[in-house]
Amino acid sequence: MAKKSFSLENSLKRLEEILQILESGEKDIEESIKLFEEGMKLSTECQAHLQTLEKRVKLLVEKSGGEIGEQDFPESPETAQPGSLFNQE
Amino acid sequence: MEEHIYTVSEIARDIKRVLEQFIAPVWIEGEVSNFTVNRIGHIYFSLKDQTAVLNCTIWRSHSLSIPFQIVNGMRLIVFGNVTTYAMQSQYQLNVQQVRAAGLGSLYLAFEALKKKLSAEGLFDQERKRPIAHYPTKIGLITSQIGAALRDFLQVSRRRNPAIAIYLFPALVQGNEAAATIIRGIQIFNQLQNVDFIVITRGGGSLEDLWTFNEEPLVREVAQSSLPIVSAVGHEVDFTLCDFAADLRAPTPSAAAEMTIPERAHLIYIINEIRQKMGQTITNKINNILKEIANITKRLFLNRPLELLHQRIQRVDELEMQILKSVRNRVQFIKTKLENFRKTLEVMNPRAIMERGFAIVYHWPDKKIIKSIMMLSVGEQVGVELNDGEFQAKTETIRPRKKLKE
Repeated sequence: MAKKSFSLENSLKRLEEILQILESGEKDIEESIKLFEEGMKLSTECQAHLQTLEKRVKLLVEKSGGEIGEQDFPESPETAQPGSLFNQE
Repeated sequence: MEEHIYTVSEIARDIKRVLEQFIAPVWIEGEVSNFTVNRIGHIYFSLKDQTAVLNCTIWRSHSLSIPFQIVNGMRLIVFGNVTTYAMQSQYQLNVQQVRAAGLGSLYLAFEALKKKLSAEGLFDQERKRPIAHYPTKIGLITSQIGAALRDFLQVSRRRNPAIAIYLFPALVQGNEAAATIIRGIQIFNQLQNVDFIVITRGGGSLEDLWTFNEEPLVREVAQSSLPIVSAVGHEVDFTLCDFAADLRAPTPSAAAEMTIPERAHLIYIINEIRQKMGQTITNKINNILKEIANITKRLFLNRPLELLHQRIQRVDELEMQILKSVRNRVQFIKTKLENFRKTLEVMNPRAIMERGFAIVYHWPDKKIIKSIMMLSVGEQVGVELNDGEFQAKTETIRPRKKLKE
């Protein structure tokens, strides 16, 4: 199952928010440094997420008894291209 | 032979038996009229052509499985058995299966259901939930052997391979299709393991795509708590599932294009934010350092001891100025006095006598003689010079002529 704790959506939203507060200059230096540290931590998490290699497609399977299982979905060669950051574009 | 006399019920029962025995269940095509649904869900209508009318009933147990809305004027092909309704001396068809006859009929059904669900507000813009802009996990409901799946995965891999895709394999055509898709929606909503659901299939005829116009599926899409993207058919195909979904994409590929942000773009955005945050915080720190330097400088300038020293110096200066001024004044007075003294000295008769002048006075009373009028010839006078005096006697007296003028 995917990690519940990380949400790119929420992280990016918070990052935009932090940048906006920092740029407004309304917080004192102590607060600003705290925000800056939070922002750097969040953005590092986002970068780490984006640099993960290709995720396999998971096939959901209903077992008898209504339980849901997961299997790797066998992709055809044309869809399963190696995903590396460096061969994009 | 005595003739048997039937009761009404007896003949009705025989008619019923003959009809049911000799007319096997059949497929019949006709146009719908007098369509009504009673309050427990049985459906009544007539099928007609140019010369005949056939009453039809669909019991509730069968009516639920009809995949579309029946409306008057629609051409239907129905399957059922002929039976009688003895109370009204009528025969009628008990319908078990229903098909639309031709595109026109499906189109009527489409419009009818669209109107009904629209009136219920299922397609209202306010109901639409926002689709996550930066998803990490997407639930995909489609056929695992379709071109739609291949297209979606291809585009999704190209744009951002870091996104996890969960595939619920469904049927996308046929009688069972809607139920499998509904099941998929329910499972994702139960697991809550994705940011949103994409329901997709490739293009096809109105009949092929009919699954996505079935009322139970359209309702499930509308009530899903996870946002749903509908990409059914190709470009021009619209289904009620599209209307009920939170976002409609014209093709499976377009669904991936629209919902999956490019990884390179995301990396750029994040780097830009990091850079801006760094710049801002650096500026802030620099400003504070500048401020500290400024305050230090001002503190130095305003040191109290320094100020005291300055005051003392000023007092010294003033003192000196005063002293100097007094000294000048004294000097001035001294000079004045000296000049005065010199003047006095010049005016001293003794000083005049030193230059050869004499004072003449009466002898012996020493009264100074200032005019010849005070003298007579032979008179005794005293003459005082610078260094002594002597006695003398006047011989002649001559007035100075010039003075008379």
